[in-house]
Amino acid sequence: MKRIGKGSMATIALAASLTMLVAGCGSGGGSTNSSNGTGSNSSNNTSTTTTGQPVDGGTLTMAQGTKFNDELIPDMDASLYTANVVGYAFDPLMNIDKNLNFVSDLAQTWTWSSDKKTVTITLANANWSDGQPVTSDDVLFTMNYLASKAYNTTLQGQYGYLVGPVVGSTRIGNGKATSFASTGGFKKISAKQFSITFKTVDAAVLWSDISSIQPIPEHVLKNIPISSWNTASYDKQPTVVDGPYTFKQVNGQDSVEYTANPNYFQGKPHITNLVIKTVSPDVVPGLLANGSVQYVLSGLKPTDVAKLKQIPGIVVKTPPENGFSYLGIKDYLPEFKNYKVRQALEYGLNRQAMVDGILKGLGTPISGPLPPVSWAAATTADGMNPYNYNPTKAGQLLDQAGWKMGSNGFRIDPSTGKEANLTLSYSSGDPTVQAEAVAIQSDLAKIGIKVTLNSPMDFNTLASKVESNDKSIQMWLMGWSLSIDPDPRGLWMSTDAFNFERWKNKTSDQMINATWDAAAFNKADRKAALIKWQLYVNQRMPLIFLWAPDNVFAYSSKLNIPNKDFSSQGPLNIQDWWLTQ
Amino acid sequence: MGTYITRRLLGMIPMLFFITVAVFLMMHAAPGNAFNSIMNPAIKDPQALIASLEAQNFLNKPLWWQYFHWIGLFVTGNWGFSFAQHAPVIDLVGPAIQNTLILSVMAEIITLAIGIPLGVLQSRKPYSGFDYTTSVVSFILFSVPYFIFAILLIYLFAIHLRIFPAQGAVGTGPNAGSLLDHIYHALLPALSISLVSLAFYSRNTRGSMLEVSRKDYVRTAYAKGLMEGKVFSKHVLRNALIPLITFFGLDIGNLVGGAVILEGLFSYQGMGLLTISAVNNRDYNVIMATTIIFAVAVLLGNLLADILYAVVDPRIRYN
Repeated sequence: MKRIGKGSMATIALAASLTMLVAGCGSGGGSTNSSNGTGSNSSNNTSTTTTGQPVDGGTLTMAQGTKFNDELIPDMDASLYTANVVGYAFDPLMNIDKNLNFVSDLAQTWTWSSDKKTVTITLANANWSDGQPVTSDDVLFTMNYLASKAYNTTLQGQYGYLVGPVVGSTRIGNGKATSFASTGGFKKISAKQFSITFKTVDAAVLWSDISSIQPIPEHVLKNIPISSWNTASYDKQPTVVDGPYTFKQVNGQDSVEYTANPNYFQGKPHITNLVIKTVSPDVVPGLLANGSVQYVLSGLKPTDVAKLKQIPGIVVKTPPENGFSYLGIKDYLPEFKNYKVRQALEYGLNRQAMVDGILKGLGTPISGPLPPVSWAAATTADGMNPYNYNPTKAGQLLDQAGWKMGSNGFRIDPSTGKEANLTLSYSSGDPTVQAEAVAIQSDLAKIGIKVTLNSPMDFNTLASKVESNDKSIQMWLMGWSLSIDPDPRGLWMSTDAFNFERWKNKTSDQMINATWDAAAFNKADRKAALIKWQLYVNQRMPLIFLWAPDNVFAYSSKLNIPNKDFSSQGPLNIQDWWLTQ
Repeated sequence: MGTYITRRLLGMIPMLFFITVAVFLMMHAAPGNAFNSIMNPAIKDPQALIASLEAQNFLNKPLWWQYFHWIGLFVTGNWGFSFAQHAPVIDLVGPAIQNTLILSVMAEIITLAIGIPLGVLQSRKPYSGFDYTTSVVSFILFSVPYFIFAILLIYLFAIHLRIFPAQGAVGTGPNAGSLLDHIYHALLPALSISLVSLAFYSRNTRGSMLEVSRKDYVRTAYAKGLMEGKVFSKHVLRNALIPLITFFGLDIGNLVGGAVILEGLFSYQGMGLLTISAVNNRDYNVIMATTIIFAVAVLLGNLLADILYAVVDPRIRYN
């Protein structure tokens, strides 16, 4: 989900979706990823908010740089921008806190059975905006919707995976059953308590999948066949919701107006009216400056930061993103089979200089698969090699790998016996990606590796070629925006579809399995397993890690967001925010 | 005339057929499809999901089958579903075409209402101070791309003076979506387009008027003793409009096309943004729908221009 591609991955507020992802460098609508990045922590120009007592009232206007789709039943649409709009009206089972830990939301408590296959969840004392309670039946109804054949075929839903690990999901998906209650996947204990049984023991499943489920009201939707939900009026403007805000008016794909939900179970929001508008990223700084927008959800680029900081009354924050940009290589090609060559590439790129020059310092060089912002990220203290820029070391490693220097200053590829000439592909549409490609070409030339740049292609073309293992692709530039949970599966198992570098490694697979087995239910054990795996990846260097970019957030200093609600991935708990009148 | 129009309308059918075939083939020739770009590592088996989505949308069938399947549904009014936005294509095209029409009709009205009278006035007193001043201004307007005006207008009227909205096709509040609200939001983008094209129309009108005013029949009209005003309005202007009708016909085609950069700057959700995002997302059903609408508009615009020739030029008869 949430392929951010096309859009800006840059700044993604986490609204609802804790599970976002990926992909870099879109061309289409917004800006891009791999390069949106940015750097060091923080930096505000105005003092950070939150002084004084919260005041009720006011209208908060937020802006997104890419339009949402007016399909507002949770998970109907795969766009991140739609998810942002939905997220203020529908709460998920679990949320995250400032430090990206999962915390209670609609699911107040949860306990695992002794065999670790069943989790029992107790719901918070939450009501729908029409006064009806949010019940176990609503959760079951939502799970059945996500697993249903109609959702996964007619509606082309992409979030069936949220309930995929639950017993019976396959049978519901192919139409042989209609409810997890009859397949043994779901047991209602009371109106506010239920248990979910999984197919396998998996320490990550609650965080990766179940936590993101946003219940929908059974009593409103049960009489409409799921296959026609995408034309239902509830989909255009949900009337009954359980989040901090209720929909007042949806103005096509231009804007959404909300009012505070007085029945919200975590307390009525201070800010009375909320508006989310679609605006052009080119105009956003001007709108912030003149006060017609108070908070930018997405669409700001690192190049905007200096400009934004000059505007009085604007707070700019650039916390690190939970994602990274990378130089992709196909590990099975003879050129890259030897991991010393891959280490040489990592040493041979002056990543800090690229961050400083191209991303205006808004990013942090990384050398492993989990960005520093993750609670499970391994550090140099754990034994991670930072691969600081060292062309001499890179040259030595290449010599060891048999890449002898030729007479003209370029190295000979031992697999062909001819001068090496690696090709690098990247997507068009973002000038920073082009700058990265040129910088990589010049850095690698310094260690004797000749790189030819392919002409840039649009993101979809690049993605489809990388995915289908097209022969024309040897190295490429992309980025991943990661889920909050540090589960390596999806990207790093030998069989994973998004293991684009085609790194087939049994040792790594075993280490990954240890990050979600029964022992990993203990967070400390899970972290130890993740660190062990990261150290291995750090040494084998299956792809060339570049940097974790920074998110760019900007908002009016009249908007007060408590510090406890500002996570690196964006502000949380909108009900706590308030406006200085 | 009736037979002529019928014949022309029937002639459009094979033309539209070829256009749809060409677009369909080009669209499928671009690498990847809407579902290849699903890149979510949380999906356990993305290949299976992509395969099932492709099957659901018949993308696994032969191309000729897909084409005839699509056209079969299209002529019965079923335009299919958007792959990227999940809504029926008609629900996406409807609001987009409405927004674009409001914008482009307003732009056309401003353009014609200012451009043609300005050209006429200039031609009445050529090489006068008024002619020189307005001509210089026209040349400046004509040589600046419209998106530059867009940015200037946004800065001046939306951000600095705050008289007009900077973004969107509709506003918020109880009046959102009313005709007045639409016009209010379309004014700045319409003005950006008009500033360029009114210069174009005024220059062409002036040139055409001057040329016609040197014709023999104009001299004859003066010789008959007609008042100068009558000569200009009845003899010169009417003949001078003939070349302008060609441009007008082309404009009709562009009315529904939308302007990508302009719509992007104003976040104006019209046909331009809809089409470009469909192309980027390989959203085949939306691409086909917008292409056909655009093609029909161009063909009808040409037909309308041809009919108007007959109206203003008595020498042209289509029987």
